Amino acid sequence: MLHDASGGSRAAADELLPVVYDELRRLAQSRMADERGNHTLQATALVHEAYLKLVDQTRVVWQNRAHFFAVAAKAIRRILIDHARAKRSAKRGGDDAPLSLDDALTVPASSGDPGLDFLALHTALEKLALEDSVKEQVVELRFFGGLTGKETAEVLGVDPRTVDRYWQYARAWLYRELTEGADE
Amino acid sequence: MSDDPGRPFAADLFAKAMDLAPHARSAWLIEACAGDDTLRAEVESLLAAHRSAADFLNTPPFDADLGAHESIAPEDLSGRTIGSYRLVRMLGSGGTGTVYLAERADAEFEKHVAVKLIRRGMDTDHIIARFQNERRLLAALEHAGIARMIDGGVTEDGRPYLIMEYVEGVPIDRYCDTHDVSLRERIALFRTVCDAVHHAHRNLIVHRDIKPGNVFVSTSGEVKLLDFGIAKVLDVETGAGEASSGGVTVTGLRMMTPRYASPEQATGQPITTATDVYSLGIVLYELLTGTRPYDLATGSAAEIERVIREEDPARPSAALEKRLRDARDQGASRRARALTGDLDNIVLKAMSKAPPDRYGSAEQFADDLGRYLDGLPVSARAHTLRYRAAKFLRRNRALAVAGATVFVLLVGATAITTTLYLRSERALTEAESQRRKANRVSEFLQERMSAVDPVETQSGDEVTVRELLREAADRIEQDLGEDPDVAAAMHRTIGNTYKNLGDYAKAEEHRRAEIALLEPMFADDAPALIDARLALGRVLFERGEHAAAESLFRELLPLVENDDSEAGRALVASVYRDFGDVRMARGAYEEGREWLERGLALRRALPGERDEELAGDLNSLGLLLVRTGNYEPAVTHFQEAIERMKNVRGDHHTFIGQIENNLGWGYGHQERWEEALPHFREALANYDGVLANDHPFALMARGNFAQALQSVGDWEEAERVYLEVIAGFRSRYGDRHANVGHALNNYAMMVDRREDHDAAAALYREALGIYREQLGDDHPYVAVARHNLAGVLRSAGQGAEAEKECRAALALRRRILRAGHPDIARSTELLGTLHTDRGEFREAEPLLNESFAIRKEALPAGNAVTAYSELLLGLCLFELGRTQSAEEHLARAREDLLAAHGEDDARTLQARAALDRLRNAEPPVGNGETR
Repeated sequence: MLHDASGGSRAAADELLPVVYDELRRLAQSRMADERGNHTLQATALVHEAYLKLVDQTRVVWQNRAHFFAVAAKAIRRILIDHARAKRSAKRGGDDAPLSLDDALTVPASSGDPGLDFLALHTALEKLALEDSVKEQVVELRFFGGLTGKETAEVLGVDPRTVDRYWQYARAWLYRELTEGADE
Repeated sequence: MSDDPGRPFAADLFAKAMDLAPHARSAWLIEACAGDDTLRAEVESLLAAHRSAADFLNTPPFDADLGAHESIAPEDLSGRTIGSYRLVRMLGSGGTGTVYLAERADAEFEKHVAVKLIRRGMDTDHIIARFQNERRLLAALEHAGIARMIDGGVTEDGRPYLIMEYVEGVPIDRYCDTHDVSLRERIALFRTVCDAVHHAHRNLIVHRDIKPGNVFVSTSGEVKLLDFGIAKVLDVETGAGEASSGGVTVTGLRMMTPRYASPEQATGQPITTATDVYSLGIVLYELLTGTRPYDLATGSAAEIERVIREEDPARPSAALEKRLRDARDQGASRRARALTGDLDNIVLKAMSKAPPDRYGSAEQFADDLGRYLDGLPVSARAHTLRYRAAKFLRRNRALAVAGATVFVLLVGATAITTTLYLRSERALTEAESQRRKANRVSEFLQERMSAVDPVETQSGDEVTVRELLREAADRIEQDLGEDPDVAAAMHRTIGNTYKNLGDYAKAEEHRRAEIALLEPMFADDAPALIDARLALGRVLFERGEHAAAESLFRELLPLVENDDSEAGRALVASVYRDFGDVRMARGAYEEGREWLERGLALRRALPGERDEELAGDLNSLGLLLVRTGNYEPAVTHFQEAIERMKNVRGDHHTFIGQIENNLGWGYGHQERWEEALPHFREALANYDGVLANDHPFALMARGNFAQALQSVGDWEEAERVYLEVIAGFRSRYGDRHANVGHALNNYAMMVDRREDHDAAAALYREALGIYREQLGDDHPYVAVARHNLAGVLRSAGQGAEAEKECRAALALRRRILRAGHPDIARSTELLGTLHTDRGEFREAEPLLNESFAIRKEALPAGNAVTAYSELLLGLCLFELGRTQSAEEHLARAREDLLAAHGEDDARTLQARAALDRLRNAEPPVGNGETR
């Protein structure tokens, strides 16, 4: 079953993606009561919440919890990319909106890793996937999905030590890619 | 690059290199690559990237990154009509929806309004239903400082909207910064915010989301609160139901702004008006310091919750100073000083973690700020300290006795009422002839009984003893009816054994039977009869029948005093002691002391080894010295008594247990519980296996033990022991005995510490009733119970009742105790504190002065209780503006408290805070502005 989510039937996972995508965004937005981009929750918490909701309420058949997390991690990645794209276009045309009855929500620069460019990360990840798609998935699950090494291993059906090795490698690889990106 | 055939190897080599120690990697790599420089460079660059990557990708993205998307390009509905309003332009967009500037579509009035259109996704039936409910409430809210809710409804496509007064202005923090608003003006402006919030609270509406972004200052300089109650309308209650169904705890699901959220919001506890007071506190903190009280920037929901619940913010003055220093402001400390003291206290009080510790209302908050502006004393100080004390208590339950104003010391102590050996010998000599005639059976019985008397043999197998006693008692009449002399001896033995078993009722019965047999045979002053009546007196004494015992001793005194023989003088000394004991027990301490001292002096003058009797005398006098507050001589008396008793009875004996108990009791009177504890343990060890668990001595020692446990912080064990002791006393003596009163009184202290004031008051009242009934209205214990009752009433907020009881206790103590008695200090201190509670410092001062003076005299130098008295006095003097003597007292109190309790103790902190305030007294008005 694990294979279905991780590799075997990617198409099945992709079908479910929009559902998770919408749910995560809705949850995230309803949490966004803070002003000026004070972060409230890590995405991980949202994934858990979305899981509860979607497992309860949709007719989608989830093969297992791991399956869901794989899709959720992908959804979060997608949301962040869309967000980063929107931010880029907003910056081009936008001006400073006047203050309103509600706090004008400025867009947070990024995540707990300030200065992280999600678009660049996305591009680098796609490149890494060409070399080894399992490593891409490790990053997706661990970073976007917020899963631990053990959970990641469970989702991918591999040994946790392998996940650790891949994670170390992928982090170094991506870091190099993002810091020296142009030279590669 | 991805086609590079070396790549897969690079990954493997990288993994292997990572398994090595960092310094070993390069050398290993050179070897592993075997001259393939491209491969080596590739792996080296990965290793280098690994070294610099630090926390790269280690923290998952936040939900803000996910949710913020929509706010970039929200659907712009400008130009549409909602209700009777046309949306003119979008003003902004936030987590809950989008706000538009709008005008009436019919253009009847050229009035602008703000329309808040609730975000899609929040338009569930549940929310809409609640929304309809709430907006009616909100529409009723009319106050100049609150942006009015004009209307609301649901659009055709089902989205709720609110129409609100349009406010042209900026958030209060920005307003203050851009207009260079002075410190005093900031406070004044903030007070108008409090007024508006208070108005809403009176209409039972809680804002729930107070933050600068919701507190606007209009272009005309007026404060307007926005979004009142909106948070409640929109609070998505998605969390609770799903979390429980899924078995996963999802925190942080509530709608809140973490930066201004109270602990109760962060933890999902009920929201009250106190929640708004907290958020107001944070807003003021930020307005005064320009910084945030908590760093919530990075952290999971759980971490945010922890910080909000547990972390203490820096004092505003310290936060401001740090910020200014960081900005290299030359006048940092001078400007920060303007916040030191009152403003620190006011802000921190509003921000208290526990809602009850905050201001009771936004109005009280504003009032305190008003007092600050007017240069009047503010209320925040005491409560902030109480908060710290409470916090300290949470951390360390051991803070018990001395910090509270109620001091109770009422523990059982026992006089040693031994059989008078000399006297017995004399009686035996005189009764020799009769004894010769004694029946062998009775002799046998007596011996057997003596063999099982727990006090004589120090091995108590009580069941056997009781059976034997009952059997023997039944047989006295039938076996010895013909021989009253022997029968009397039997009753004496049985009575004495019952007394030692703690069964005083049975003991009295047999002593009376003995006397009844002896009276027809002897004259009143015959030694046998005197002996029997003295023994009866002691039983009565133990039973708590003090009046009866006293009159008996009074009758006997003239009968024995004439005997000038050595044995006779020894007897007189014992009667003096018994009489002194009973006078003491009846509260006549000074008279009791005279008798006891006379008895002791008389005994010391007698020739021969009299260690056991002397130990008894010393013990009684020691008890009296404790009761009259002469602790040091009391301790030496007990110590001598123990030594002497050991000379005759060996290291372990119930008598030694009694004296150990009394010694611990003496330490307890001085609040030296750590020292008291081993003595109670020693007492119990001496009783163990000899006396039954519910023997009166054991009950008393255990009651004391419980008190010591409680005082050193072992509440659970203390409570367990108390309950046993109360039950034991009740079954031994019935419900109305003074010992039951003691146990109830002591247990009440325990209940009081749990803040269950009503239950504690009821227990004190019961104890008081017992004392008045059993001991009379003028007994010192009546004063103790009244005093304690007063203390608990004070805690329960019933100041007037408390004062009444306290005055009664003090008046009684002044009347019956010697001047300078420590108990008088307890009551003057409590009464003084009741005055300071009401701000009546002038009335409090002489009372606190007296309590300090008495303690200083009675207790060893540096004593923690004295130090606390001095602290109270210093605080009072400070309030009265007598800064110089206040500082002297506070400095000394602080030193002693520091030595006694350590730096973190609530009392030490209190002294330090007071000293800080004193030494950094605010500069005159006008000097306290930030710019």
